[in-house]
Amino acid sequence: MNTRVERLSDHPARVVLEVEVEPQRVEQSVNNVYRRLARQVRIPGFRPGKAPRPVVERHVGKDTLYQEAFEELIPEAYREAVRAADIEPVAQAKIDILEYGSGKPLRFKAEVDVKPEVKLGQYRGLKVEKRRPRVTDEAVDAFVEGIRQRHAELVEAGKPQLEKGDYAVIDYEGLIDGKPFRGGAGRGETVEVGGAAVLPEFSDQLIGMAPGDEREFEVTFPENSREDIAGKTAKFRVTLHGIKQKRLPELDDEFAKDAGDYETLEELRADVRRRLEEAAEEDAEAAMRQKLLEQAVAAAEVDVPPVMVEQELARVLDELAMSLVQNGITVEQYLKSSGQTEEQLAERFRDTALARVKADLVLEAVARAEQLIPSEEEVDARLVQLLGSAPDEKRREQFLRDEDNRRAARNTLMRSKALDFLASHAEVTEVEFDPADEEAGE
Amino acid sequence: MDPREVIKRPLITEKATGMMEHGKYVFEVDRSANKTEIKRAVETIFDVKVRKVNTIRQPGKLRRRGRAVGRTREVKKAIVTLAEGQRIPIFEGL
Repeated sequence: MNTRVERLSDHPARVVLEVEVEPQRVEQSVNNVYRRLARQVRIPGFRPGKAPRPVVERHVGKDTLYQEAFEELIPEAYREAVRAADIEPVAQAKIDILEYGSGKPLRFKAEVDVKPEVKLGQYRGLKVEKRRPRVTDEAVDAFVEGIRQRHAELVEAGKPQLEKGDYAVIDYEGLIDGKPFRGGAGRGETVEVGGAAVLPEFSDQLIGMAPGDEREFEVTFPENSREDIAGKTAKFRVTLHGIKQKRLPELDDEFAKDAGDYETLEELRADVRRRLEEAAEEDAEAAMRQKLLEQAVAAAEVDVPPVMVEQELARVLDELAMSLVQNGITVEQYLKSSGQTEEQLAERFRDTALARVKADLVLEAVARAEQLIPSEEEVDARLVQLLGSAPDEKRREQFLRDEDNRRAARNTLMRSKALDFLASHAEVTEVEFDPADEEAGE
Repeated sequence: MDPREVIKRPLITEKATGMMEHGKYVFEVDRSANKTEIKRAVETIFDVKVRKVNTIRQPGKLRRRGRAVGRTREVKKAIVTLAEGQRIPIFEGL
């Protein structure tokens, strides 16, 4: 097989492959098709599969045999050509058959978009600020307060009357049109008066009750309630058994022991501070890497083929759809509530997609330039990680051996190595700032 | 008789294809043609030397459609054996 590679000058990321397949190979392929086809066509005078090739050719047409043979032969030859030319196609190739015939080679042209060449700009010694918010005492206090709230206990309030913010222990029974409804009754339940879990209309009616009191009142459910009760009015009968209040634990060593594996409150505070600092450090590191990447991309020259942007855009939109679904919204609902069409949404994300493609290409180029090529073992490890809890041995083996999977894993690893490289070769200025100043500044 | 009228068409079947290997070619011929005429016709049209001719008459078969009785057409076939080593190439390509 013979392959000639031609790069188009007006399309830097497009390659034309001219492939020539030897006559013998074409002939063999056509012969296979003849044998398969002969069994399927019925020719008068012959049992299926028994007609000689010239007869079959005349019957179905010579071109039919060739067309059938090319269905397999061309993709196969194309794959070989791609490997031989060492290019990375990013889309389906457009294939033109130039020449074929009995005793002649098959010649075809494949035009395909490939990963573009990247002209790297500066990427070593980039100057960047690593901005990390200082962890203030207030932040630590706030975090500790959160732990304290979670460790609060409910105790008898010993109050004569129920007030907003108290917890009421009640029996209640509600009827809509004289009939009970789902969730409309309960015994000995504790509810927060004025809390988010209780309808305000219900809460308000409880205020002022004393333990032992019984009250009857009506509540109209708002329109956005559950379907079977929305907009309906229920008659409630409520008996108050007790009034409770939240009691926060004292901020002392005792509390620290309850909250975790600490001896003293000071230890707890120190650990909270350490955790907040780690989180701040991680955020700062990620933000810094993002900035480095942006600089490297800005300095580089890449001509991204439109197909790559469209493919990435599809991925971005998929991810968006997935995160929406996780929040219980379908894409249609989202589009409706934000008042955009699918096209507008896609338009909004096209820049994001372009930026991501560029960033990936630049990182891969850096990796190549710096010889940051992952070892086969690293690729294996990455694939195993992707596979998660391995299904059966055979599928695992297949997954590991698949050349497309390996290339994808290799590229991912190269990108992460390249990003590490950018970070370790950058001139980093560490800046610690006060979160309060930042807010004032913004 | 004109040679083109004597020979109506080649018969190409699995059996006939097999016989070609032995230099025998099968034709449908005119009902009234005799072996001599067939020999001469094949020799003129295909420019070959014929060794012998065997003929078969296949009388039309009875076919009835309701009350009407009919016959399929009568076919006369000729198996022409060529002289040693001779061939009719276009035939094999058919």
